[in-house]
Amino acid sequence: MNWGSFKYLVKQGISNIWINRLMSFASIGVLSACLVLIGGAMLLSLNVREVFYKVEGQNEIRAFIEDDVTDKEMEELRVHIEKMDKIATYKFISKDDALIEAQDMMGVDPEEGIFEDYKYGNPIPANYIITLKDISDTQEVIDELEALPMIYKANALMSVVETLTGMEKVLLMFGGIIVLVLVLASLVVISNSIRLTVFARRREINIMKYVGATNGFIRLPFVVEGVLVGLIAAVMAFLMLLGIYEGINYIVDESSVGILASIKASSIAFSEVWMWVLIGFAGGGTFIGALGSSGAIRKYLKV
Amino acid sequence: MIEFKGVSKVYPNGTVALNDIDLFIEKGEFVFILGHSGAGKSTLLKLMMREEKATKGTIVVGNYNLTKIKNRQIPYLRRRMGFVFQDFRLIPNLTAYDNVAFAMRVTNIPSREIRKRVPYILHLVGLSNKSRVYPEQLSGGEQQRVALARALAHNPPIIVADEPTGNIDPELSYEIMELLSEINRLGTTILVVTHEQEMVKNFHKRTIKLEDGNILFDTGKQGSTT
Ligand SMILES: Nc1ncnc2c1ncn2[C@@H]1O[C@H](COP(=O)(O)OP(=O)(O)OP(=O)(O)O)[C@@H](O)[C@H]1O
Ligand SMILES: [Mg+2]
Repeated sequence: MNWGSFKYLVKQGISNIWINRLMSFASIGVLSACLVLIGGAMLLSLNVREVFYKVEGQNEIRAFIEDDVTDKEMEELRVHIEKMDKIATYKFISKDDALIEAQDMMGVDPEEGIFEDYKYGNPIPANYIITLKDISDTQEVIDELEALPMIYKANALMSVVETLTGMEKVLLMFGGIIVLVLVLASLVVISNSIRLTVFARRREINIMKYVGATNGFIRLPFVVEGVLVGLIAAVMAFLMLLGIYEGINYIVDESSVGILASIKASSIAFSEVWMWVLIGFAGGGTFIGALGSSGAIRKYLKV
Repeated sequence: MIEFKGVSKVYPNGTVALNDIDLFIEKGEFVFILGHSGAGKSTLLKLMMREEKATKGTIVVGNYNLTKIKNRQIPYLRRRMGFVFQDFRLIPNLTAYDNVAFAMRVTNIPSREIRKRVPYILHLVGLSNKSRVYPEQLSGGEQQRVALARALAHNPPIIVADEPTGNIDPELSYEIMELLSEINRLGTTILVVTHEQEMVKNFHKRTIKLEDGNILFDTGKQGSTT
């Protein structure tokens, strides 16, 4: 392909958009709405994950140690926990510290509290406070710990864990379905829009076939049209999402409601992700545009 | 150059348009194809450009065996030919100049060559002064000549014209035939479908007459006596 042909094809693509401006406008609208929703869903899920990690940090496993373990067994246990790669952090709480902690929790004075009686027989077991890299491994780690002879019990606030991982699964599934439906809708709209241009240009396409233009050459202006629609939609979606994101951040900033403030603290700044958003949108827009257009011309290339 | 061997064409609705045709046209020949309406003339041309597939038999055009040709080779087959269609097939929103340039453009001919070649070809068909005019502002004969200019533009070794003088007054159609004859003298193979018996008589070229899908007669190769 020479430079003249290339210029010709790009010019044709742009003029296609203009000839068919109403439908092009509709395609750009639908596609950018679709991209905004996809991008928004992804940012939301990223932020939710970020919040999860915060919660996960607080959600710890307690592994209670038998009272009669020897120092050697204690060291074995430490080494074992150290080696478990699902574990992010662990902290040893001795029997004495555990007692103080328990008394603190109940708000009693160590000197006169209900534990006074146990001064010579501390009932609170030594334990490990363990946090995980991934919250969904909780049950597995508990099982592994409880299988050890030194541990008599390990537990966690399973209900929190289950709720969070369950929520994430549902979010992912619904998000995936919505994204799929939106992508299909954009494809249909773009390909119908380009079908109209193809119809308006069917005479030219027919003549091109007769004078010996290759299918690739005939297809290109329409692919250019689709890709341009995709790129314009990508830029528009980017700007819209930026506006929405900053808008939400502003509202959260202004509000004094505690939970919003804590979410804000763990939210991701747009400046951290804008490049990925833009690249993703441009790539997605280009792909959907090109795919939608190539489907639209097939029928007219058969002569 | 062009060869038909036992070629039949039956359209999907059962119409037998061509029936066991044998035909050989050498490089550089000028051939008239005569025949009543519905005799199968256009079908013959459509088979050559692979707009239609033969139902039976083999067709060879230049280096291409059309029975075996792959879809992606068809554009290159068509670039070896220039077509003048019965209904012109010009693009209404392009000027005469652009209609010719368009055909060259879509076959990847460099812009520089297009800018040189188009004015020359329009001059050749006597339309230099109409190059900026749109088809609807041209007379039937002028449109016909734009179509001819388009067929000539890329200098193909074969020119196929379906009734190129159908809408033109006798004087002008004689001129067009002269022009084709001139191009033929420079070595281009030319096939012309026509109704005009007079024209055929005047030009003393090989004449093939079709009737109901059969070759009624073929005068064979003629000396150029014009
Ligand atoms: N696409 C088609 N489907 C079915 N039948 C067709 C088709 N095209 C042509 N025919 C039939 O095939 C026969 C030959 O048609 P063709 O167009 O080759 O005739 P022709 O000699 O070019 O006639 P004319 O001088 O009127 O152009 C006719 O009977 C016609 O009705
Ligand atoms: Mg015909």
